[in-house]
Amino acid sequence: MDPTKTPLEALQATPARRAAVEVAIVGAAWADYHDEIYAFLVRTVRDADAAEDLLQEAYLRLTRQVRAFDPPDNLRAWLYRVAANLAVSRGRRIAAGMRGLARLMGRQGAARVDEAPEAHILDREARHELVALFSGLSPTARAALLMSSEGFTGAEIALAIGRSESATRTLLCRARIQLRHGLETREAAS
Amino acid sequence: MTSHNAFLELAATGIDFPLAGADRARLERHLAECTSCARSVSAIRADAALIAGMPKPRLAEGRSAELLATVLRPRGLEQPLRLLIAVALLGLLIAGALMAGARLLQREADPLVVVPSPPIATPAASAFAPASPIPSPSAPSPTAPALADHGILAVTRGDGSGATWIETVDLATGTVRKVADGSDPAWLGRFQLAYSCTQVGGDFSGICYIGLGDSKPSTVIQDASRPAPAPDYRRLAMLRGMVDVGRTWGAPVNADGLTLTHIAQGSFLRWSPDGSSLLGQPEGPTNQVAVVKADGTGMRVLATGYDPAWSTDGLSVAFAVVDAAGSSLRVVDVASGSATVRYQVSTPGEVHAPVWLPDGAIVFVVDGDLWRLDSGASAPTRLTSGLSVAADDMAGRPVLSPDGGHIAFTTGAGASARVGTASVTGGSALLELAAGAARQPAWAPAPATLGGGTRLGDAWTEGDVPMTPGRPISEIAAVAPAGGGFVAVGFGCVDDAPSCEAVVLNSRDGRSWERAPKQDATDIGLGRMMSGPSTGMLDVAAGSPGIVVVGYAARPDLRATAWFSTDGVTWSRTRLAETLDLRVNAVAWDGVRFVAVGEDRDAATDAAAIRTAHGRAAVWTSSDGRSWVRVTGSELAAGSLVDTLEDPASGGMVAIVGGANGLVGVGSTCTTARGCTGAIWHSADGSSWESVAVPAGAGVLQSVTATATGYVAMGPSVLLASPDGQKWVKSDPPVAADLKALVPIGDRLLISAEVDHSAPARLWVSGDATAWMPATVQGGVSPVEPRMDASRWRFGSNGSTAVWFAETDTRSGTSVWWSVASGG
Repeated sequence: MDPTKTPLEALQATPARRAAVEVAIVGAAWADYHDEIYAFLVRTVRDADAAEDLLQEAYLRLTRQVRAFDPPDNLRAWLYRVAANLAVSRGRRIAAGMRGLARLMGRQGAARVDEAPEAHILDREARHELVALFSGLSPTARAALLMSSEGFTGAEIALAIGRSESATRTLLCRARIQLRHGLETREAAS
Repeated sequence: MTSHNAFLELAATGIDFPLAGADRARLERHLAECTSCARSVSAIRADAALIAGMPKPRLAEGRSAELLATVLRPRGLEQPLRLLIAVALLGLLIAGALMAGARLLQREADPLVVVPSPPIATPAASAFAPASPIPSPSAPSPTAPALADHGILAVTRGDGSGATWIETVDLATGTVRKVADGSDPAWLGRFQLAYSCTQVGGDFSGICYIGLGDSKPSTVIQDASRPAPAPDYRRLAMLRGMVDVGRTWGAPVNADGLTLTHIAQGSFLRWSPDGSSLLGQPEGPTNQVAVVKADGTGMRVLATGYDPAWSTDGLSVAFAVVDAAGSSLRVVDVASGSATVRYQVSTPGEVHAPVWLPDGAIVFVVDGDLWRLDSGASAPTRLTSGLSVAADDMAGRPVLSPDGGHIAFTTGAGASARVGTASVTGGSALLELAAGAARQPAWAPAPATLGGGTRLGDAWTEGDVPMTPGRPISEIAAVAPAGGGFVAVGFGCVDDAPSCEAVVLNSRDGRSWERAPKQDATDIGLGRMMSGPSTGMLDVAAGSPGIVVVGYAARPDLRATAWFSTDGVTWSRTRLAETLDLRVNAVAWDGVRFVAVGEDRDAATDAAAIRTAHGRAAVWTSSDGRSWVRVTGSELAAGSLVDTLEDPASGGMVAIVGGANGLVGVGSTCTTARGCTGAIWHSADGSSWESVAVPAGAGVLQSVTATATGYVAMGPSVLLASPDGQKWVKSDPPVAADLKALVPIGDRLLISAEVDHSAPARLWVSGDATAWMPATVQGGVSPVEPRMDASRWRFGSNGSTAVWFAETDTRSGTSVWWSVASGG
């Protein structure tokens, strides 16, 4: 073995080996996690087509990591982190596009940001109030709550969504209380 | 916050973060004493379980395999080896997915297939002499070009059932797109077509205007046909009444299309190059060639003949004649009326459809083939052979490409009609489109056709944005002239490493850009909120002290921030506010001071507080760009906050400009009851502000700019104009919805707009904010593509150069395009 190379580099010494390693690692990660990452993305961005794109992009980044001889240690956490960032970046782009308008147009403007064009996915599945209220949260809050429901700690969620732990604590807390207040309001109304 | 709420928050926090021992104990004690709190906390914890139990969509099996195949798509030279391995492992990983994956790995067929016909290069001298038959084609030239490799054609398609529709064909990429049902396509600039349309059911026929990507026409002119746009695309000539020898009418473009004026009795649809006159045939028993001024006056018969065509300089007209001597191609001097025979055909063939080339040569049709007669030559050369080139309006006449290099033509007729292109130096090829007839080719215009030269903002060429590894550019938020060049600002975030950097790009010429180095002032940390402020630079303005940028930085906390630099390279920064309730949106230099504007939201974080809170516009001023003073005043009050869940909207200023009569800010005022409406503020000095009346129904406003004659403000569907910034009236925008950007480009204004996310956004320029003309894009790839988000386009101009930052689907990252005036 070439002492100047890492074991992974040595393993990928030839094109054939590189291809085999790449397929093995990425393929295994796909088999293990793509279902839950896809579900996470659909519920975060509320657009099945966009979720497919983001899922593909997340795994393409994993492929690049492997090609760079630097596969992540914790594949699942890494994939969630990349997926959350991609989802948040996508939402941020939409929000940035509406900047100045969404704020100005009040509820109507905010609805335009949140509803187009993805709302129908969850709307169709909104069999109970929680889902409906959940869909009204921002993508960041949805991503954070979904990661929480998948067992990630607050610190891991903060890392994934690109916020400080303090800001993530506030975000999650507000989101949970907002959901609860919404449910109670609807229960009272009904 | 009540103490009960504090414990609820503590409990909610404890779901995701470990509570300190004291907090946990305090919470447990409170819950033991407060039954309702215990019930709420229990419900919050149950909600978390409900979230975990929400439906989890799954990819279809076949789709999963396709995506994985894409992820593992092989690279470059290693493709065969990787292909085998990837497909084999796919089979192991996902049963049944092998076929789908393999299909995906196959290269998709090019939608446009070129079928070349033999190029013809025939010696000129003896090829087409008088009294001799048209010669047979000689041997093909091995170097003759065939199908045009760039340009966009609109064509009329048909399926044999009588239905016709219009498609555009991009010759560079092979992309074919359906535009609308109809025929007779004529371009109104680069992004809009006029065409003959028929209402479903055939109740009327008329002319429609439609933007590329639009689902329905924007304008319908009833009882009209054969649209013929003027060279500047501001007016349209058309026929009304009998087809072919009908009455010629005119209409302004970009208006309601209903203000029709009668021009002449007859068919006058060929505009002179300067747009002053129309060429055609008056009604009458004999074929006559005549010109008439565009206002319908001064009709003058030039000659007896048919198929007239302007020379490119507008001084001469070529036309065809059939008389006792046979068919001839003639040229008449427009000023003197003196006509000469350029070529006499003594074969049975007739001359049709002459087309002038820029070098003075004339291409025309004889017996179904294209021939070229050079200026000064006595005999023509053959350009095509046996193609049955059409020469009538129904099938489409030969038309010259904007670059003067190719002729597009229709060959054949009826269901077998096809469209091809021929080089003006010989050689031709046919477009192989999907099944169905194709006819009536029309070239999309290029900048060179815009009146003998281009003005600033007419044509755009791609520049060079630096791409630095590890320092991505996520968004360019603003660009402004500075120090004779430009400075562009925004932010860049690494997706899988949570850090963001303020982006500053500097350019001397708008074409080549350099990125300012990393430094403490541009390290903006985290802060990727889905709504409300996010870290990054938002707006930039240059003044005599230097360059000021406003935006947000998240180190140590997310706050409104102003940056300052004297050279665009080294930056310092200062906080504009100590709380996030003060938001900043824009900055301007009025010749004396910098003025930053935004909104003040009060401290309101829950629904009850938001309902009673008040927001107002916020203004800061600075004479040196470094130290800032908050301006307060009741005139800036802007109504109540409007709760938008995560992002309360209070109204406030979103744009600011300094002009001859002071500062003008635009934005909105909002109330919970009625939402947000447009608002305009005026100030002579930046310190004392007044709210001025906004025309009814204007809606929220998003942009404002100063012009030589006053100010122009814009909302998503409205334009407002004012001579002094205080009295405003509505003006006509080029389209009625989804206006995105309003910027001064030289002595004109530029507007971008977008119909929807699947349609190409479009650009217009105007000298007076009332008459708008489409702008075009030159170069290999247009940045105006479907699925582009025009709300992220940023424009700037320093008077001699304009720049445009955009993202395209065909490139990764941000691209910059520049425009300068050229030619006439």
